[in-house]
Amino acid sequence: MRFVSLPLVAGLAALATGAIAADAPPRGYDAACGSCHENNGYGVQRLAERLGKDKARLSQRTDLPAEYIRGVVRRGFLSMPAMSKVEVSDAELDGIVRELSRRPASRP
Amino acid sequence: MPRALPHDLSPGRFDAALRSFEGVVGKPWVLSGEEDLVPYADAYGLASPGDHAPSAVVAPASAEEVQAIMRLANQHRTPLWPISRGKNYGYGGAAPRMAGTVILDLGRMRRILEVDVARGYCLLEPGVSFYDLYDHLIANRIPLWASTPGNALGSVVGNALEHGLGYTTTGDRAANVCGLEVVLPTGELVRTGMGAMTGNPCWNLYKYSYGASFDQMFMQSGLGVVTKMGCWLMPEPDAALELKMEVPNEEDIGWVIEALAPLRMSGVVQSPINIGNFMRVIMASSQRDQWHRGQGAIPDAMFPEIMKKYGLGWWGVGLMLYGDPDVVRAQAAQVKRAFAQHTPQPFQETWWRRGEPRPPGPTHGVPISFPLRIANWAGPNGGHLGFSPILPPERGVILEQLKRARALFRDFGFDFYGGFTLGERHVNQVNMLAYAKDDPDMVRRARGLFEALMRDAKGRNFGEYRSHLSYMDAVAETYDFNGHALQRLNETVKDALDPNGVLAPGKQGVWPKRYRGKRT
Repeated sequence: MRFVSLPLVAGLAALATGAIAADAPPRGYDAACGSCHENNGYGVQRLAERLGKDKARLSQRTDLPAEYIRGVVRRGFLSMPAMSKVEVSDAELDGIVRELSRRPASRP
Repeated sequence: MPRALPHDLSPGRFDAALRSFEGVVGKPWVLSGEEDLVPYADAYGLASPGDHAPSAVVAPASAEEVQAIMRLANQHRTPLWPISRGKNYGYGGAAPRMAGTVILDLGRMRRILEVDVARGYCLLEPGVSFYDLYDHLIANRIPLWASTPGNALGSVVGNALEHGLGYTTTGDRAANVCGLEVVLPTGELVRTGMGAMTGNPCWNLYKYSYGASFDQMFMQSGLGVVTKMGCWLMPEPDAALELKMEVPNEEDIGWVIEALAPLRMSGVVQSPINIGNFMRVIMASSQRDQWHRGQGAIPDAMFPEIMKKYGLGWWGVGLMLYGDPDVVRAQAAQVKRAFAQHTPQPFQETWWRRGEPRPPGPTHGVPISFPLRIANWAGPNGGHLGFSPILPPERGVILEQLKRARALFRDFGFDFYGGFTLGERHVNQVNMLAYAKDDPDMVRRARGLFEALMRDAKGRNFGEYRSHLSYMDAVAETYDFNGHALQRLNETVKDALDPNGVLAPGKQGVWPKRYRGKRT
């Protein structure tokens, strides 16, 4: 039920040609974490400093237990702010943990 | 930490309110567990954790649900604090002004309702982040650029309503808002501008309507919950030229501002100009103890070495020109002529042309997150706080402000991160304080510095454009013309629209009658 679209109200029904709307898709690792933990984001830079370049991108890590990921996401860690259940639902967090627990070689 | 409740509500009455909210949004979307509330504390704040502790969270999925919650809040007299995505870092994050307030988290409302390619606007819900909007524009090959901030984790709507800034031609985000849908504190739904007429297709094209226009009333205010916002986007230019110069001396800022101000006013340069000192670069790319382990600010004597190592001047000036390459070249020539009167130094020129990959960052509307590294400057458990007065773009004023701010930073033992953003007729002077949250002495000094900066600016009749939760009352107090007539107007409007005082008590220093004089 989370991302069900409501019918667009009258004022929006007559969209101009070329108008493009989008419902929000559920968030996986890239959408929820990628802005900081990929693409030279804040998290990538901080982890490179603290733990070294080989541990800077979470998608390449194999040493992150599921409960650790959940704890950091929900409670924050150092300067990483915690993420709420509204920002990342429990179901989305489960999916992210699954994504991260796959071996990097099998990741796209 | 004991559960914070609104100080004038009994636990029984409060719980009844939460149960009624569950009836609207469903049980999973009313949160009040200890861990559930952690993300709603101010992650980078100076305040004691209890000062801005929320009591619970309710997360609606639609404007209709917002209306229903608002009506129930009136019935149960439950104070609500709306957030879009809660990433207002440096200003309080997701936390409410008043302890015990219930967070109205709009993060589930994150649909991009419309992007009109021909007319260059989008219609957004408040939960849409700068990343979401950028990804949507790219995925659909839409030739429009959204203005993005230094740290793009936040909400487009929330940032615009708080007067956030970017560096493209729509960088003054509040000025590029066109048409709001708002739930009033009583629960009534209104649309501003041409949206006030059912079905009118000009809602997001023309900013006014017939009679008074209310968009500004819902910015930096607690007078309504914005559920949809029209936002103008910049057409993708044929070319973009970045002109950069590292200016060597501290006092050069005076002529730099004076040379650029007429170019901004006349529209030769059509986007906000970004000028920052070398420490802004250093603090967003390294940590303090890499440079200096002693007490207090890094000594001035070390500045030449630091600047040399990074190839920086005292000030980095960056301005953008967008459009047809011939026009851009002509504009660039005007900028160069203005600078040639003061320096033989050439600009570093970087062209981008349509079809090329866009460099990450606000100059090209590409979201980034790493400037948040400022939070790590003073320690791994750091925070940051902005102080940003609005100034006229006059050499004497700018140099005096710089001298005074620098001296205060030094007195309180902080490194000076200073930026100037040049608007059409004003300068926004950004001072960023970076501190270690787990160092009580440093936190105490950061408070002292903020208060001293505020007093000093007020002494010269300058005011802040935005502030952290903890300083909202104090900053509002500085707007004192005619015995604080603006505050009286704010309170009159607040009481008329929100008679039960349920929406955002204390936002920007405006308290509803119910809490006035009984502030916590």
